[in-house]
Amino acid sequence: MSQLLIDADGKKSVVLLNQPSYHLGRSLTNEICYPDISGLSRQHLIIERNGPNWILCDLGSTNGTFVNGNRITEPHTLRHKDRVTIGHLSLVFDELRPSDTNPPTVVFVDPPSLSQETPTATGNLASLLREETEDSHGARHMDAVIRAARAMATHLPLEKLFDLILKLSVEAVGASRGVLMTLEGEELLVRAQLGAGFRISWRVRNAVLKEKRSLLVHDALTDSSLALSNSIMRDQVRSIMAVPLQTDEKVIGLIYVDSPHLVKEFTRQDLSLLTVMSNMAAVRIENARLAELEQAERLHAKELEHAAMIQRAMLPSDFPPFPDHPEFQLHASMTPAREVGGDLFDFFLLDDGQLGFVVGDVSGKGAPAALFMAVTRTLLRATASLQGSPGECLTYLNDALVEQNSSEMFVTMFYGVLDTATGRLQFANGGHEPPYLTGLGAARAVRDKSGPILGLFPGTHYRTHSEQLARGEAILLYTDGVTEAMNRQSEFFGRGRLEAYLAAQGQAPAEELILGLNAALQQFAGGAPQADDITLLALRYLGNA
Amino acid sequence: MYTRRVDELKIIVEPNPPGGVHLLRLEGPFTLRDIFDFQALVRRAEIPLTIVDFTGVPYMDSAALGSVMGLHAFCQRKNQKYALTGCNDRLGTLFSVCGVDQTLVTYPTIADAIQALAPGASKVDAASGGH
Repeated sequence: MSQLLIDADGKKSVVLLNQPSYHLGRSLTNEICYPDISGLSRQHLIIERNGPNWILCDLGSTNGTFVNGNRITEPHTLRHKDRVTIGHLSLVFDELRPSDTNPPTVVFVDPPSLSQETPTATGNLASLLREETEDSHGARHMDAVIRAARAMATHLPLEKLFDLILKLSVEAVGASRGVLMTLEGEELLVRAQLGAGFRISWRVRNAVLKEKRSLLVHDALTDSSLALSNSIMRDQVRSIMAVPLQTDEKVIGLIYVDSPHLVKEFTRQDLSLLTVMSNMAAVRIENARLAELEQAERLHAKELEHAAMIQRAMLPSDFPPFPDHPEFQLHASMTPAREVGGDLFDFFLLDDGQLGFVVGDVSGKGAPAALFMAVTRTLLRATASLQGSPGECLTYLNDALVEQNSSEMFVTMFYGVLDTATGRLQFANGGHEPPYLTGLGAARAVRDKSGPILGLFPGTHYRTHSEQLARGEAILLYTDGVTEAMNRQSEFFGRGRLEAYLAAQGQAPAEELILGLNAALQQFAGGAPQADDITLLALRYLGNA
Repeated sequence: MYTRRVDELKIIVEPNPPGGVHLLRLEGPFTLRDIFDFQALVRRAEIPLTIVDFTGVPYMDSAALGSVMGLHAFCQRKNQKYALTGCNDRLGTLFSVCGVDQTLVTYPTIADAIQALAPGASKVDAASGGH
C-alpha cells in the first residue's frame, strides 16, 4: 500500500493511501487539510486511485502544484519518491513495495488518557435484534438484510465468503473501510480486509469478544504523539463500529468498520443493521466450516480405505501358500485395530528346502505404523534374499531402519528360517514376544533373545539361535495385541490364557490353530473395542513322508 | 474407528521439585494418545535431570515406549540425565522383552534416582543404564 510522507512547515506526518481519493487544501472538508499553510488554495489538488496507479490533479489552484520542481498542467501519474510541493507544504509519494516492511493489518492498542473512546451506543445481539424490527428505518435495512442473505446463500469457499461478508457489511452501513477477523483459539486472525493500518483498542476488542457487545464509538485521537494542531494525521477522528460474529452464545470473531467523521457518522440504526448482518454471517461461516470438515473427513476415510486395500495386498493371503510342500503347514492372519495396522507377517521360500518366516510389530498404530511396516517388510525381503543367517539379516535391517528413522518409531521382529527337510530352525528375535513351541505336550516359550527392538540403536549385532522342531511340532508367533487384548472388565487375555489354549488345541492343523485362537480372542473380548493389531502365524513341521 | 475405553493418563508436573530436577508423575495407562502431551512436557533443554515416575502406571503400549525411548535419545543428545522410577513388573517385562531393560535408566523410587543422579552425587552416564 502506498503512502504520503508530508512535511508541513517542519511538522512531519504520514498518510496511508487506503481510500479511493484524497482532496488536499485549506478547507476543512478536505481529507487532508492544512488551514494555516499559505500558498494553499481551499481546494488545491486531488490524489485519486486509477487501477494500480495514483493520479495527481491540480484543481485550478492559485499558486499551482509542483512535482519534482515542475509545475503540472495536466493529471500526473505519481511515481515512487515523486516530491509534490505547494508553498511550504511538501509531500513525497512513497510506493511501498512487497519487499518493504509490511505493517500488520490490525494492531491492538491501549488508548491514551486523552482518548475520548467512550461508546456512544452499545448493545447485545438480542436487544439490537429487537430494535431492528421496531425501527422506522426497517424497510431500508430489511432490503440490505435480504440482499445480504441472498448473497450469502450461494455456495462459496470460506475465503471468498469472508470477503463477501465484509463487502456487504461495509456497503450496508456506508463505511470507508473494515476488517473481518475470526477467533482461532485465543488469537484473532484477519480473514478479510478493506483498508489497512487498523488500530483497535483492547477495550473495544474485549467488549466485543468477551462481553459479546456491539459497539459504536466516536473515536478521538488515538495517537497522542501527533500534534493536536494538525488537523490531518494518521488517525483521523473516526466513527467506529465493532460487532461480534456470534452464533447463539458463541463468538467466533468480529467485524470492525470505521469511517472518517466528516465522511460518515454511524448511527444506532447502523449498529443494529451491522449486528444483524454479523449474526447471519456467523451462522453462515459456521455452516461452511462444518461442511469443509465433513468433506475433509470423507476424503480422509477414502484415503484410509485405499491404504487398507494396499496393505491387504502386501500381506500373503493365499492359504495354503505352498501346496507342493507337504512337509509343513503354514497359516497366518493379521487383524488391524484401525483401517491400517503396524503389524506384519510374511513368509517366503529362500531356496528349495529353506522357508523364511517373520512376524513384526511396529510401535504405534494407524497410518504412520503401516508406512513403517511397509518399509520394514520390503527391506527384510531384500535382506533375506542375500541368504545371510537370521541374525545377520536383522543386523543389516536394523542399521537400514535407523538410517531412515526420524520419527522415533521402532519395530519388534522375530525372523526364522526352517530347514524343511530336517526341521532345524534358525532364528533371531529383536525385542519381540517370545513364540511358543506347541503340539508335543505343554506349550514351551522360546525365550532366546538376539537383541533389542529394531530401528533405534545403530550398530547393534543380532545373534542367531537355533531349535530343533520335532515332527508334528509347531511354532506359534504372535504380537502383543494377543496377550494385551482386553475385555469389558479390563482384564488382559495374557500369556496364561494363551498357554491354556495351546495346551488344549496345540495339535490342531495350523489353519485351525489360528482360526480357533482368533475366535477365542473375540469371545474373550466380549465386544470390547480392539486396542491393538492382532497378528498370528503358525508353522507346523511335518517332515517328509 | 476403534477406541479404547480406559482411564485417561494424567501427567502431573511437580510444582516444587528438588533444585535442578524436572519431576513428572504419570497416573493411568500410558498409550498412543498420550505421547504428544508427554513429549511436550518431558523435554526441557535447560533442566539437567528429568525424572518420570511410573508408580501410577499399570501398563503402557509400544507407542508410549517409543516416546520413552525418545526421551532417552533426547537426553543423550543434550548430555542430560533422566530416570524412570516406580516401574511395575508389567513395565519391567515390556522393557525386558523389547531388549531395552539394560538401556533405559530406571530406579525403584524417586529418592533413589535423586541420590544417584543429582548434582554432587556420583555421576552416572545415561548411556550406561544405571540401576
